[in-house]
Amino acid sequence: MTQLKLLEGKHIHLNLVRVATLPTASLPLIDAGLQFMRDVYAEVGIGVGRILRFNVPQGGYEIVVDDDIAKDLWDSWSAPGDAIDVFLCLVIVGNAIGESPTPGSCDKDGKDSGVLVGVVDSGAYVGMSIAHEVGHYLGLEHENDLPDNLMYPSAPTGDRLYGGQGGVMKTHCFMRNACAL
Amino acid sequence: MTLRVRLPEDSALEGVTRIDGRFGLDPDRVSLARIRRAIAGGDAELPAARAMTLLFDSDFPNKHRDFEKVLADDAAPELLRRVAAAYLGRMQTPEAVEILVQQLDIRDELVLSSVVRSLGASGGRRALETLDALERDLPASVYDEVVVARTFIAHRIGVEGAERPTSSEIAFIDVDERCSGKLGVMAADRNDTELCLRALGRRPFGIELAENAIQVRCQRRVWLFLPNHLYSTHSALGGLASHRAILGLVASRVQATGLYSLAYVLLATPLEDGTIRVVATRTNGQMTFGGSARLDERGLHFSLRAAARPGAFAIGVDGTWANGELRVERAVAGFTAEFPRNRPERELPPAVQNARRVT
Repeated sequence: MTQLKLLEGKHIHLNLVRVATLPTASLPLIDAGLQFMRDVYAEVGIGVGRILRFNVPQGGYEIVVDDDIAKDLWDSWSAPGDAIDVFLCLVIVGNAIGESPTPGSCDKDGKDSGVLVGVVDSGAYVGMSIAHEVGHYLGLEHENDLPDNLMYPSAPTGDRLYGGQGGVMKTHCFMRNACAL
Repeated sequence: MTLRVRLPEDSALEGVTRIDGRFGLDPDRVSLARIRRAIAGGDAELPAARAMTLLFDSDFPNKHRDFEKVLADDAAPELLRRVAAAYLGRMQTPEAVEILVQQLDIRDELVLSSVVRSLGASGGRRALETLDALERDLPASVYDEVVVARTFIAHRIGVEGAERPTSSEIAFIDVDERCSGKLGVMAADRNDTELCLRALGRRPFGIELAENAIQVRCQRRVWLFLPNHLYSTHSALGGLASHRAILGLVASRVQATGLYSLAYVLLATPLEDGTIRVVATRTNGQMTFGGSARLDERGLHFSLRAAARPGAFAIGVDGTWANGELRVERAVAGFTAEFPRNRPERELPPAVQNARRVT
């Protein structure tokens, strides 16, 4: 009910795009993560609406070794619609478990259109990672001094968002207005 | 921006674990014993793949043996074996390359692909000979990786061999001057170059980089071109007319952190007509831009265009590289993608998939 109420105001849509060999066993983890994201975004009055699922059938992106391969993924693939593309790979080799441009492009065919999350890498932090990276896409910077904030730069992050951050997110072009329910 | 991972503050299991909240786990403060236990799957708080990152970041001198143990273990999870192969490829040491060569008989298709890809990023003559000798009935996905790896190695050591992409696969986009902006091209700041070299690490992609880097800017995006040390002087450029070479690497700056990551590898191939084919690929072999060059007494004159591929933006760079300096005559980039991106396949949510199976 909370989400339905939120969809009467500002909200976003997501495209979850999993790369070829992401095990289906990971999917419940992702669903639980999305609930975490919904709860955190609800704090600042932002709903998470339609979620469509896709997969990238070709290999080569399951384990992202170089940071720039994430950009290759964003530049080469795009799911349709007015939703933010969240690419889910297995592992990002290196210290990162998620990547996003800040802010993300308004144009689905523009540069850096999408976020990337390493699912197996993130483990229990999948929802946190998705929420955090989408936060960047919507314009949020890191909050280095606020460990309880979602935008703290290391996982586990906090689960808080503040009003000012919500204000920034609501100005992004991917933010939708009220749904006709 | 990136999200890094850290352990909870109270997870100091062995009294040596302290987590730097800003930069993630500090490999110097997590014991080797704990990392090894985590890699074996025995640490609920530290995922095995993350432990392997810590091991890679550590200065433990024998870490290649730990990665070898995981890679060679048929019973280990396929994902971890692939991550082990990736880290061995990043180590750029003779020992790591030899381990990868020794593991080319792995039967698991995905793991073998990762081994081959890592050899492409780090291997030398022996790796090339071993790859050349691999059976021809490899699965298609592995075979593609083998061709890409052989191409990279052949350019690294300057010999004939596989070519990817082939000439028939190359098509370029011309820039529409009415719908383009100028690229900023200039000598890179010394501090920026040092930062980039540090970020790329030891012998990135198996070559030594020179310090006379070139910066390229397009709106918020910044790249550095770092020439291969072997071809950073005018006299050495002559070698490009006679053998293949990796001209250098292009690193892109991560906007949030200011740090650099490897973006493109520039490959040069001499052609029979006296020109030199130049191709820039991602580390996965995906060609992004290229063109031709010719050598004369004034230097290497080149003309580069973006490759026609999904999501490609048009670029055009014409200039001359001589005495370690770049003179640009034209550097422009299109505002919009010239080709539509690939569309991923739609799939149903897991609950709906399960319901269909039941009915």
